[in-house]
Amino acid sequence: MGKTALVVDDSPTMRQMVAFTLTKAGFKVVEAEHGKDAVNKASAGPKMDIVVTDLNMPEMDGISLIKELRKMAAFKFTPILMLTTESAIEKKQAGKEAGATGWIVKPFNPEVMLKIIAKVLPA
Amino acid sequence: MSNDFSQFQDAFFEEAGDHLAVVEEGLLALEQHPEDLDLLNKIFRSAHSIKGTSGMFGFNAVAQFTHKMETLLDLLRNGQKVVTPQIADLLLKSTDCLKTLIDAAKSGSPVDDETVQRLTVELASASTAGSQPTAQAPPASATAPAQTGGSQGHVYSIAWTPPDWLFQRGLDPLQIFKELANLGTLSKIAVDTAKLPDLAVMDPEKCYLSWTMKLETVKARQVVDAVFEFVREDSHLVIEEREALGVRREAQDASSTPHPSPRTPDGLEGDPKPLGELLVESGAVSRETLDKALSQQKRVGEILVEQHAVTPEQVDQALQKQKQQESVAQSKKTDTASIRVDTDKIDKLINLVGELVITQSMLSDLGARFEMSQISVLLERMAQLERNTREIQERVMSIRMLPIGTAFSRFPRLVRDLSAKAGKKIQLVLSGEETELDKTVIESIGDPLTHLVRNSADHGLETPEERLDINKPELGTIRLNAFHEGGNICITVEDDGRGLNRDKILAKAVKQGLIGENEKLSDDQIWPLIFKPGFSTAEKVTDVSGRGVGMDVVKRNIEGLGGTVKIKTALGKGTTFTLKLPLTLAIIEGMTVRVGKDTYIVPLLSILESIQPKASAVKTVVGKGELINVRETYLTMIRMYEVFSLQPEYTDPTKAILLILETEGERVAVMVDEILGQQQVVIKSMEQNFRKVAGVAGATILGDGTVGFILDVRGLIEMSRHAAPVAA
Amino acid sequence: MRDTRGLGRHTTAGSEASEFIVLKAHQQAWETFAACAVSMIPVLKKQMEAVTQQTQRAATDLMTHISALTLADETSRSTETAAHLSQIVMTMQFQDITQQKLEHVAQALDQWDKHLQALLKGPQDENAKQEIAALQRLEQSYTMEEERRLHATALAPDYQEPVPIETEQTEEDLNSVTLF
Repeated sequence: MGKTALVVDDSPTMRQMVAFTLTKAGFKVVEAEHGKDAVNKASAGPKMDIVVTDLNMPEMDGISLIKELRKMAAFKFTPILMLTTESAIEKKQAGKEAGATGWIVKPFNPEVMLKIIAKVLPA
Repeated sequence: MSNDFSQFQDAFFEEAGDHLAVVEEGLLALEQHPEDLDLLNKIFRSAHSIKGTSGMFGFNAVAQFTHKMETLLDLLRNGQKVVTPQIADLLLKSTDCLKTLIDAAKSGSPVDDETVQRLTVELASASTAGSQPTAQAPPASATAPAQTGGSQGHVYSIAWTPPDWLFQRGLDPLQIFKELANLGTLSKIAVDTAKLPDLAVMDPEKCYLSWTMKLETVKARQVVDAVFEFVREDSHLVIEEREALGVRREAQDASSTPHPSPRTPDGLEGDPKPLGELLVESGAVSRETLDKALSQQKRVGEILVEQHAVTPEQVDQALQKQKQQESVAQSKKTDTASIRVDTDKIDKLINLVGELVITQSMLSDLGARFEMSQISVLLERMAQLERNTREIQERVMSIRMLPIGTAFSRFPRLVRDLSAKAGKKIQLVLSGEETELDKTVIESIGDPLTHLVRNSADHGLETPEERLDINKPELGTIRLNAFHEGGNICITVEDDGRGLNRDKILAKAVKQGLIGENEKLSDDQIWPLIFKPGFSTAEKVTDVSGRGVGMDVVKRNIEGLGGTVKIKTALGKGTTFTLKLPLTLAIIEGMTVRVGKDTYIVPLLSILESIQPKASAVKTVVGKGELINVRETYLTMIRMYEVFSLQPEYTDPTKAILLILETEGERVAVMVDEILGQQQVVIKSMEQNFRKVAGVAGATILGDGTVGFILDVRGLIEMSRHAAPVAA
Repeated sequence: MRDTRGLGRHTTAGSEASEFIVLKAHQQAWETFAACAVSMIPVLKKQMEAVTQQTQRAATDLMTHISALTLADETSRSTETAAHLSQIVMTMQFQDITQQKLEHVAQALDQWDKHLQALLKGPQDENAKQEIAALQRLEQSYTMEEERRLHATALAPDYQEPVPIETEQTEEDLNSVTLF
């Protein structure tokens, strides 16, 4: 597939799980620990085709990250998925308003994650 | 697995109870402060939680009713409607109704359908705020019966107008069409460019298009809905089924025009089934995994939502409440000698953390030597880790001291209702709500406190007219206060009403034969008479108080907890009841002694004295064992280390200490290495944790964390007799 | 609140004193319990922290290892393995949540710790302090009597002391010794 994904989460376990899932599906994965780290890697790195981010992180949280990314030309129309818990309604709404494409519910089933990614990522 | 699920159900009912409390309290406060936005948000969130979780467990009646309340609450918090007394009252009544619905879900108790219907209609009409194109698909479709046979072909005509920001959120309409096409046959796609402005003024980043199309598929309606998952709330979307069985025409409306929406929860309302159900249906996930995930998620959700500042209340809310049968069951056992033991809790916690450490190391063991064939082992160990953690949480929860405010919470409502019923004007003043006490004690004092408050409201306080007549303010006051004192908690219930009538009480007591006619009693001796069973000087009997059933029960309850009730009263001025409760319950006074490395506690009451004998005082008599001469009396000497098989420091009595103990008229001398001191100890039952150990009455955790055994003197004597070389 | 007028009056004094003994005993037992808990809490917290760290390490190691195994090995791409792997990925996430829970438990324990310490410090109210002080004075005098009695008994078995009101044991009991 040759696509690159940016995975942002302060929990190493979560990052590892997402990375494992995406790598198996053929993605190249770039990891970031929090919003700030993600912005740095996004500006510096290769073209990223999709972003998967947690919302609750230190330094810069998910919502702020989404807003920042949307300001960057390269990320204006990039699909950005939030990792969210089912009941965090306010967060989902805030995420959408910040420009998030959609959401994946935590804990995620890897098959579901891949399905959702397929949904938003043009092949 | 069904075991797990019912566990979560219990948790749900507990949490629902808490949320209900928040709603009720909030509404009461709202009556006084109708503009308080924070309050409205708080109430909304709790109602919302109840809706969500009840839906997850399939308690649809609860979910639907709560949804109606939530709709109104949302309008209120958005400022689209104003809080009027009628609305507040309606919401309070609805909260009561919701309680009955939840109880029905829990235990099948009856529900007044008429009330439910009436309130539903009232809530709905109160919620009509003009242009609310309500996605009120009537309840029937919200709980759409599972599609009958996925093999039936469906034909849907779909009309979709996405919001103009579609691209700006990384969404691509082509992806959606692709996905639809994957479901079946997508045809007759027509695009409507009516909204497309001139090229010169067009914003290429905005979406001005809308489409209609036809989809033939065997997939169920929900699957088609899911394709639009991320855009449905903000789009104008109509999916109509044509030519299906029974000509079902289902319309699904968007909740708002495509613009940054006013927050409506209706996005969820449209889901006939939550995403999870879809996953199970499509085979992506097993029901078990889903159930587990959902219940786990909800807890995490709670935790995540309640972050920001770390205050005790928020930490409390973050930790999930689960069952605590053990501590509750234990607390119900009331034995005057040694009652419920609190050290149990910390001991168990210590044990559990120990287990957690072990389980964790088993997990680490798998490490780099892991092979795929060990997957089931891995999964089992992780599940174990998770179970351990959950148990620890339970323990910590049960240890947790709660602010007494939770016991006070029912009173504002109670007083409001009581004053209305009695036609009196009563204000309730609470203080010391943050005073903390053991959770189980809180649960036990609710009823006694309620009775005292009712008593004040019904009999203590006068009517407004009466009060004015004697130059008192019309508004009567009941004060509830709580504070710590030493190792006790004090709770006072005070009213500024009539006060107790000495003569009436005396007369009644004489009449009931409780005291002699001419007995002279001080005031302090008279007031407690009202605690006698059957005693009541009330002229009228209201529904609970006045029957003389309450006061003696109050006293008994409090005393059962190891506490006391005191009365202070002044005729015409008012009455104050003071409840004093100890913070812990089972102790004895003991002398700490050492034998080798072990610590024993000898009940002080059984110790007569301690001596260090001279060699000449110790005699061995055939058939009797060792005797010791104490002031010309010979007592049997027991070497404790022998009886309990310990390693002592001294085997020579002249170097050791002899305790002269007495039990049931019998005296013995018991040999120990050293006396360490004297202290109060909390008893911990051996039976509950291990098994009955002969010679030991219980155990306790000493100040340094080690375990000390409490000596059962009689048991020790018996054991020494049986061990004696010459049987008795 | 409490009537401590003289020990002279038999009935009230007796019951008052025993009531006092009970309440005082409760207080001290409470302090024992609280002190013990306070000393255990830091230990528990450390243990839980250790568990959290080690679990995270274990999870990372395992996943790295599993990654290596599955990505390298073509034959492991069977549907069964895929299902297993999905399950592992989901379970590992639960672990993450479990760790968060432990952190919250630690926070709750902290809270409890602070609370117990505050309670151990005792009442701040002036009135209450005075009450407690008065009660303690009462207790001290009581203890001394007890000691005196025991001491005297040991020295001279025939010592006759005016019987303190509260005690159950009479001089008769002390003098009757069962010989076996």
